[in-house]
Amino acid sequence: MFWKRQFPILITAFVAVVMIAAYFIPKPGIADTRDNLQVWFQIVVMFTMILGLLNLLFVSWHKARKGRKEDRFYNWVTIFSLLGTIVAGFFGINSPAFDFIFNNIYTPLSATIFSLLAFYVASASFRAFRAKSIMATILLITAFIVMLGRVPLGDWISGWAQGTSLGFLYLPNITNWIMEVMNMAGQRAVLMGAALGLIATGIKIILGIERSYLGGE
Amino acid sequence: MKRLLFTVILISAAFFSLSAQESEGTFTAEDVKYDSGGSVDLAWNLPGLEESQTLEIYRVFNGSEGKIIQNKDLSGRFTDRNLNLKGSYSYVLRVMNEDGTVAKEIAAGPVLPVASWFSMKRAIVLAALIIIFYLITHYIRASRRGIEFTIRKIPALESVDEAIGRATEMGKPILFVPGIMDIDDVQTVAGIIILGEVASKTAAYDATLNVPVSRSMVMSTARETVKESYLKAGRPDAFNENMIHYLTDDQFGYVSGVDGIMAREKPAAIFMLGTFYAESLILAETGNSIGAIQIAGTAMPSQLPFFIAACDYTLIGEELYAASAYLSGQPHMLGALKGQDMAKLFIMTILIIGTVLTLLFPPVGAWIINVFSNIG
Repeated sequence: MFWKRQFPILITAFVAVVMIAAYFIPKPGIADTRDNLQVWFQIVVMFTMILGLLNLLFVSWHKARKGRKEDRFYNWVTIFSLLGTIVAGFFGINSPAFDFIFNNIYTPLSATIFSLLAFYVASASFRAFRAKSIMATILLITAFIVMLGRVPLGDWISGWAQGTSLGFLYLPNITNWIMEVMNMAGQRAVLMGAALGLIATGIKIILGIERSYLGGE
Repeated sequence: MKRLLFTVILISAAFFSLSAQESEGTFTAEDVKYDSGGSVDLAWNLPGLEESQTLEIYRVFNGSEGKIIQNKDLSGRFTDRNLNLKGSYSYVLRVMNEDGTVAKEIAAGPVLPVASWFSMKRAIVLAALIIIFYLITHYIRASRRGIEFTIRKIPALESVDEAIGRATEMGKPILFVPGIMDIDDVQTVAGIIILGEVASKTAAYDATLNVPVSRSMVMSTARETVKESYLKAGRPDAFNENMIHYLTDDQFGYVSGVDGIMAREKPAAIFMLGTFYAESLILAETGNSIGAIQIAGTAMPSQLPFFIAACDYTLIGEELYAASAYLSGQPHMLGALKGQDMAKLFIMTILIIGTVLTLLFPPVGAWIINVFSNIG
């Protein structure tokens, strides 16, 4: 039980104390210990990566043979892509085969998934900006002003106000005010709460109060 | 009388010597205080520097000399960095004439660029940390003494049971996405903690749980947590370690993998709790398109609007960290939460005092800004 419960908590507490001490004590010895611990973390990550790789192969192999018939093809694609990339990697990361995979398969696929965002932003905005209540209407109006202030049309519509005593009506100015005052205040409030939550979780983990991540209570 | 005369002569001599030094110029070398060592601050002031003359500063270490500065500035400061902590350094300032001859030479040092035991500029962070630590531990102790704390209803956490129940009734799986960062990120740890609670319920309801992860370390940790939850629920037979499976470390590769699972398996409940970046909306919108009940939570302010727009319930910032205490209901966890709230009250008070002081006394405000910007 000691090795499964107390020992991991002791390691966690030791590492956390070193990390905190290294922040306040600028002595090189402590900074070296901190750096060494970070290197150890990377080593452990590398070892678990093998676990992850084997798990991906195993799960895909299992699903390719015994999974739902209509999904089997995707698992074969995963297995062949994984093995193909590994084999290409053995020829070196600058080899033509690896370059081909990176430039002609990986990059376009990543770009495709990332570009989906544009469509999803539109569909999510469409739902979020429906004026169903007063708050939703305020959100809609604010979003409308911000979007207008960010494009040349906003400048074209309200350009007459720029440099006059009615400069506050210039749409890019209103947009900047919304983003830098109202939006920033909200974001900072969320950040402060989150930072405190992070510190509290850290303290609970160091003291061994929070053990759920070890499988404990 | 003789003694008085002697004192006057001594003071005059000191005064004239200082004046002479000032007219010649000053050059000082001092170890940088409260740093990690290896840095020396140099400062010079040469009022008599002519336009044709150049200033050169040499570092002397172990008998060898190297030029580090050459310019025409009458006065200035320079920090000599990356020095050897085990040696002492001397510096020589030379005023060079146009023909290359030395017009003046001032030496400074030797200086030992030592590392200090405490970074004074971070003292305010330490003070804040001690206060927060005290508040949290104080309320944990209070809860252990039997004082009860209440917690406001958090709709996202209230609906966990509803989401799992719905999935069980529909005979569909439950998908849990713990974000894309590794276990060294506290948000991921918070996500895993909630996964433990969700797994307890899926074990009790005999629902299917699917946890695709993007980091192998998270996979190992999540497996332990889920296994323990199934054991505690008395259903070790229902646990299958492949319900927590690795996809890829790549951000968009992981997104396409999870989207694929959503599209093929059509889970009835989706939990997205952890650190998310650009993938948040892609995942949430795909989940929305299949009609799943979605509970999301993150402390990333830039991703929260996406989750709020596309998910049924969202844990905002600190609620993600509070979820563990909320779901477990253990007194000491609630005590920690109370301590956290008191720490927030303390910070709010400091903020208000700081704002008022800054508005009423601008120099105090400038000092406060200086203290916080020097933390580094």
